[in-house]
Amino acid sequence: MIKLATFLPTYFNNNGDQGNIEVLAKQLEWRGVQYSVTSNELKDSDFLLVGDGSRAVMREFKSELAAITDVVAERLSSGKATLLVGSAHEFFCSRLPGLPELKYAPRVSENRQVSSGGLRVFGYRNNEIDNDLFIEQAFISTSLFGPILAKNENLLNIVLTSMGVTTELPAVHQSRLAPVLQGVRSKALGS
Amino acid sequence: MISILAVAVGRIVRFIIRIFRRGGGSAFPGTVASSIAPNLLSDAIRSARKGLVVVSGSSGKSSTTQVLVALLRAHGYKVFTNPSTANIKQGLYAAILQFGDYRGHIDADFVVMEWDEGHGAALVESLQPRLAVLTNVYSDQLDRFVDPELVVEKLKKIYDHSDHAVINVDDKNLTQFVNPEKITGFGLSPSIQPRPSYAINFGPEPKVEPSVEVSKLGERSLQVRVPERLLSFETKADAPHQALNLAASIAAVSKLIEPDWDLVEKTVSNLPPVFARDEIASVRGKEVRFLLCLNPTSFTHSLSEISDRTSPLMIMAGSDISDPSWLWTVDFSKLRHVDVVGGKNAYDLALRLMYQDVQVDRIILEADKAADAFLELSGPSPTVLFTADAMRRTRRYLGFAK
Repeated sequence: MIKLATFLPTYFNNNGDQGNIEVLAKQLEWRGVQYSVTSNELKDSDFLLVGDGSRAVMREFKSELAAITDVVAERLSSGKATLLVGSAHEFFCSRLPGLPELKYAPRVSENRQVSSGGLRVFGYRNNEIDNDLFIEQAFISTSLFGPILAKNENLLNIVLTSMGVTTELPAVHQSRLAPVLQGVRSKALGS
Repeated sequence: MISILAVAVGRIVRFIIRIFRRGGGSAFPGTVASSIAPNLLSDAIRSARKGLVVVSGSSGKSSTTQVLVALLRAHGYKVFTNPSTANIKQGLYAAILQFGDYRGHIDADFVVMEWDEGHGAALVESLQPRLAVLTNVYSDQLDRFVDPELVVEKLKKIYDHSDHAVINVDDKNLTQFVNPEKITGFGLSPSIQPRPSYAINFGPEPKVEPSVEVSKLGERSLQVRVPERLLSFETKADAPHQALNLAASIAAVSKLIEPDWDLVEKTVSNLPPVFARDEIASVRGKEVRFLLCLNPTSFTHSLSEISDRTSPLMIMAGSDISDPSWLWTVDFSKLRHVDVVGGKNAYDLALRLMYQDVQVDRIILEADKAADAFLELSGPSPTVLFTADAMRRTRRYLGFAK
């Protein structure tokens, strides 16, 4: 049974980031792989999502975020499947050695394609953090919001492989999704 | 003199644009006019005899403005207002070009304007409204406003520069910054559920009693309590967030004039729906239901208004959505299939639907082609859900716009 964990999903869902959990859950369901979703047992999960929170949420849950720093650090060192988004990306980059030192730039609100370690990923950026993407094995930290795993098959496959999923996506779903993904990419990147 | 020139040039630009873009609104003539005569808007507003009323907030601006204008007109007042699609600075100037005289002056008792939060905050210092109606703060349009707290700052600025304010006292994003002596409150009775999901706020919840309270919601009816009596309305806008818009309008009109409450009841009950806000219109011989979805809240409400057997169904996500990520905060799982997914963001919407196991038959980006494909389908309950941009394009194509 694969365990998908998400940190305080009601609050850390500023830009639909919790959609990434839905994507993984549905991908597993389509493949016939058993899974569960938890927001309590973060430590031993196969995947951990910490989404973006508003300013009010970040103030309110600062100590709760700090309390999972060790969990996140352990996942970083082992390259375990993890996705930190937006303000969570900013929070942990400023605390965890091994994550990139934060750089800031004038705010950007646009779809953009970025790369890390030879991997190209696209998504929507809407902040001043100029470190768009960090990937170490299956540990992902990014300033790109929203359902990034839905839009980027390469990123999704890294996460699924890291969780030990070997079953192929049934052809019926592949053929449904492929043209839609191409359309999403073309619209976002204008190509 | 400069105003006369600005109005003349702006109207010529507007005329030329409409030759090439029939039925389409444009704020560009307003941009031209404002660059020639920056005071055109403030001069026009000053020419109104009873001053400026503004309506702002994340959601509910158009409906609140529409009802308030109707109530004032029903009481015999002349009201100048801006079309709901022209609530940014350039659009306000464009409205003056369209409805003002050759100097840009307007013959009105009241000016009632719907203001975009950002543009309103930039305009308010120079225009000094007599009354500001502030509806709510949602986690919405984050690509523009970044964080709800920045929306609160903008609404507070509008509040600070207005003589008096009508405030949604259910939303503590608003009540946290107001002086109770400077406001007239409106809200929902504690028994009414579900409550709208305002922007997350962990701060204090100041208790401000509403002067106007929605006391009961029924099927196509609602009741609103004002200090003088209980008002009853027949209306399709019977969801909590829609009832709040009505309460806001009633609170505002009670602050501006001495209302005839019987006339208020009659006027509201007879109001036609704003286009596409749950309107049924005859199109090519079919009775088509149109539901406008501006944000996650109204999308969720519109979905609650249809069934999983609604057919044919078209959902459109237009170019007004800069980042379609928020579509993933809307639960579409009650749907079985959507016949046509349309609009500039159709692929993003289709992706969202597919991950909720909703069957998508066709994806068509262009509004005109999507409308044609949809109208060819047969079924008992043709229904369209669309965002504002898709609504404007579809409306223009189907001939609803002049």
